[in-house]
Amino acid sequence: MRSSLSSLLLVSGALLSANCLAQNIDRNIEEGLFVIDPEHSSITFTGSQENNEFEGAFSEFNAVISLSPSQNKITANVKTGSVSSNNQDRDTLLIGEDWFNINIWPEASFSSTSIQQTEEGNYIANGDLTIRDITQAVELAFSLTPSKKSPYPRFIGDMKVRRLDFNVGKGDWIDTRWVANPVSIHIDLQLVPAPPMAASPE
Amino acid sequence: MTEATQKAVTGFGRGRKFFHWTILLFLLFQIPLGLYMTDLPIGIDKLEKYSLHKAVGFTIFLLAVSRLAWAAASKRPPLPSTTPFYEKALVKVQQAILYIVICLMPLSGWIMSSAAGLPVSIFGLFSLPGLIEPNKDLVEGFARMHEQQSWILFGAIGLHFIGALRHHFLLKDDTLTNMLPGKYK
Repeated sequence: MRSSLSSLLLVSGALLSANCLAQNIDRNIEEGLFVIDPEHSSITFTGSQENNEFEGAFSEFNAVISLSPSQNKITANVKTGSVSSNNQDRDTLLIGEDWFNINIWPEASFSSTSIQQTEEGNYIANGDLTIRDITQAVELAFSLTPSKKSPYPRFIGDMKVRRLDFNVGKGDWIDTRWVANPVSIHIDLQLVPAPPMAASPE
Repeated sequence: MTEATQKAVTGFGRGRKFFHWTILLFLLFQIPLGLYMTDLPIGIDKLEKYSLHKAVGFTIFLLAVSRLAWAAASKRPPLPSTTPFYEKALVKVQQAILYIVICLMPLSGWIMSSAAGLPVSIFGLFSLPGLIEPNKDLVEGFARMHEQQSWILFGAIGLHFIGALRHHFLLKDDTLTNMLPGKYK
């Protein structure tokens, strides 16, 4: 992963300059190699506890998004220990053994295998999502839209997963009466041009 | 002083008795449950107990509000005329505190759940909306409030209980027996 991204970076770096990216968003979208501005990006999720929705967020994550004629690729890593759901007990539980088990698997990752444009500005990325030690094929629908506060586009995506597909919530928690199986993930990233030596999303 | 004035309490109505004893039964279940559940390790057992505590709390709230509406619409038997005025005042204050706390405790619990971003499901039938937005910083304050209210509740129930026993054993009037279930005048 690291070597392919690095070579991708070198190719893109030769093709593009930051100035070029700043001047032309459309061209950025087509050819850009982006990372994220963590200050203005979020990965949130909506789960359901006792049939009541609750919101959560990850505060530490990274992504490298390459949208070039030669290669479209999205890779992202999320530190599962950075989860917060507005409830101390729930957060403690989430990072624990039965859920993310951050002592053994501190990160979740996504790596796209293909990206198709569905309509202007809208895309579907198929890829592999790894949580704990389980990798599953998932679909990420996303759009690239002009940003109000930045010359670079925003990446806004949604993904639906089932937590039990990834063994998230083991033991008694397999019973979905208390915590539902489906979880919606919402991704809102402010893209910025990758710096010259941008590396993999770690 | 006549016999009638010494034992002047006439019967409590069916409605008052129903609310009195039903609320007591729920409280006798609710209070130990509340004390027990907080120390449970985080897990499904804890969720189940909390969920039950919230649903029972909501039920008590409805009963207490209905009880107040009932009380407003019906006459209660007067205290024995021999009761000193300060004791009458004390009884009023004590009963007011009891009902205020019984009504406030479910509300502070509900707000605490809302602040904690946790659901309030009523026996799985429906859920109450959050009263405030989730806010970690407010949870502890409302938890403390809920706990302080429980101490006031214990005190008020204790005084109420002692008062009932005093009527029965020391003053030897019918206040306690008139409130016992099954006896209607």
